[in-house]
Amino acid sequence: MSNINYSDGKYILQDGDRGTLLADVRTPLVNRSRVHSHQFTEQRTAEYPLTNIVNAAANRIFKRTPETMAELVTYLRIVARLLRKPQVHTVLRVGQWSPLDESLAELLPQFNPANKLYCLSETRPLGKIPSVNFIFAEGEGYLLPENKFDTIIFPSTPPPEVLSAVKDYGRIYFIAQPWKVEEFLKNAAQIFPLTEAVALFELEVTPQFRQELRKRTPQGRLDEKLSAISQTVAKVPAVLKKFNTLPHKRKTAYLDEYIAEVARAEKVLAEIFPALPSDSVKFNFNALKEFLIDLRLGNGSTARVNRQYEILSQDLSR
Amino acid sequence: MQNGRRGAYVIAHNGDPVNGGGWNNQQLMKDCGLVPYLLQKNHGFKSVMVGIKFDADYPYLEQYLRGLELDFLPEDTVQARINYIDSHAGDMDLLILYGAYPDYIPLVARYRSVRPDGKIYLATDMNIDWADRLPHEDPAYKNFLHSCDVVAASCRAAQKYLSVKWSVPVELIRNGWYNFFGVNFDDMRKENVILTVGRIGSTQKQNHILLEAFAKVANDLPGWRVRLVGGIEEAFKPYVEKFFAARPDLRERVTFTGLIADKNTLMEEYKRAKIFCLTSNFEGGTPNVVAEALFSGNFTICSSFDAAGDMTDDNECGRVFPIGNVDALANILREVCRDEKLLRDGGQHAAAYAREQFDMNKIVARLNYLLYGGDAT
Repeated sequence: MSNINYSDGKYILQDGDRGTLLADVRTPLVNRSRVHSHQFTEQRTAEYPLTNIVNAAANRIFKRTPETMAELVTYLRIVARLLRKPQVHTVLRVGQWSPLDESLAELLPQFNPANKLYCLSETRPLGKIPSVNFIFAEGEGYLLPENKFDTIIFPSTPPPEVLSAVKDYGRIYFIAQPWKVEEFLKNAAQIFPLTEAVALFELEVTPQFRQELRKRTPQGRLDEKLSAISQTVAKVPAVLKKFNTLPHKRKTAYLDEYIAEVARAEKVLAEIFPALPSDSVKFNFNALKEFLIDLRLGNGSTARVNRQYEILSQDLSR
Repeated sequence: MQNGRRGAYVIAHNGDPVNGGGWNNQQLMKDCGLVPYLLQKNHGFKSVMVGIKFDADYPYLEQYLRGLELDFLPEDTVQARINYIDSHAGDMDLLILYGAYPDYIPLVARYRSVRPDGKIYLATDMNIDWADRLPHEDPAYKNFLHSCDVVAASCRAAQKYLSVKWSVPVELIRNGWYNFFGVNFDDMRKENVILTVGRIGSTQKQNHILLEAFAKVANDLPGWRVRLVGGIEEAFKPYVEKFFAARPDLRERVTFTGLIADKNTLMEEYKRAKIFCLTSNFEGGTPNVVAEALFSGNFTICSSFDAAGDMTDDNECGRVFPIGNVDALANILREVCRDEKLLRDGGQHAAAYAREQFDMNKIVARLNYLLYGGDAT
């Protein structure tokens, strides 16, 4: 198992020969927070409360497990970020309460009184913990606001709605077996090995990552499907134009191909229909297909298809 | 597929209150018989209607529906239907089912297991009230709907409704009309006749609404007559007597023809009427009489059942009144019967609309295309 070493104001995660800096609490240039640097010394006295708090955090952990190690690494990474800039910092803890949360709850307001620790858990922690607010999950899902928290601490690989709750350039920390984590998460994360099998992931939610993520959310998948459907519909004017210019023999085969595409898109539309705002779009789409088939069978007109195309386009854009 | 022909099989619903799990002779001429017949006649299918033997004879089969086959089940059970599917699977390229009955679930499951490449057409032909009672959120029922390649309603209102309620695309396949009898619509001489056709006096048809509305406006509409075509329910006869007792002046102007079995004679009734009126309190999809009325250039007045918009092409060739509202129907009659131009233009629109939307040849061609796309025969 990895170790956390402390030397000369630096906390380092030691994994065999490899050391990774977790937090530097003494270099003056590193500390751009509202807290004075002199508070970070090795003197564990009452006049240097922050040092005490940071170091005391480690003492709260009685048993070394991958989970408690992950807690400590997370804690130190948050400290490093707090030192970076004097901005307001909101942290969300999801899942079981950790002994380190008490330290975190004490630490956060010292950097900025507006800093907050939120907890999303079924149980309220024991003991006196300041600056903690509780929000709750509903059923098996998480009802979290998007782009809200600077840091989220999550007990396992987070679902998209939790990742979405992290602010731009914020971080999410979770413990997982690396081989089980999707590549797109790994690519966005710094990985701190805890044991041979388990690691702590520190994932930065950049706008690019958010874009990737959006594709994986129900809304993102919906948008993607809707966009593909709209693209199919948008072809109508061009299809009709070409249809009118083709020799008779080639007209039917040409339209068959497009109607088949429309029929495929209709099935996708039926799938996502409950999530769409319009309650007429499915019917209007079917009517477009109906009029195209009529045209193909010699019973319809391009004008009728065009009219329906306009109705449907408006409906799809709602 | 046999000898390059696709096999289409329509299996009757088991335990059906109308036909006891089989087909009756009249039904052969309706959409459940017309669709397989025209798949056979126009698109080269081998078409078979399957059910118990309900009628002693099926004269329409020989008379009008040459080539359509009837196969009889030994008993009216789901198992008998499953056995039939098993023994005809190789030939059953298309399974057609009428009504969206949950009883079909085991049939569809068996068909899918023996013919994963086969096609299923589910013609719901139902009204919204009935559709509302179906277990559309039940996973087995949902799976049944998703197993069907084409799910269709027979009127726009039902199609719109089911499109929202069901998780599958819902097509419009209307109950159209096929000119078996070589009816010539060019020689129509229209008279001031308001026509209705159906089981006269049945609770569903609400024929008393038409009689009472006509009684209110008859004095304002000299020369106008009402003709009620169809067998009269016994329970309705006392009402008719009372009606004439109260309005003896209408005896000459209101005629009950009784059942007209001969289709050509029936079509003559449509052809000479200027107005077709349907007063039903509900209809199961599009009533079959609608297409006959529209082809005959009738201006259509109907109560506000689901298919009312289809019957009138959204008021382009007719008017709709609220179900059961005698005064509203009377007002419409007073207005339209005195507007010769409205009736003439509306009638012409009705005929053109019928040719475009209710021609069974076109309807079946579209169904065939929906099922087979560019490979449709």
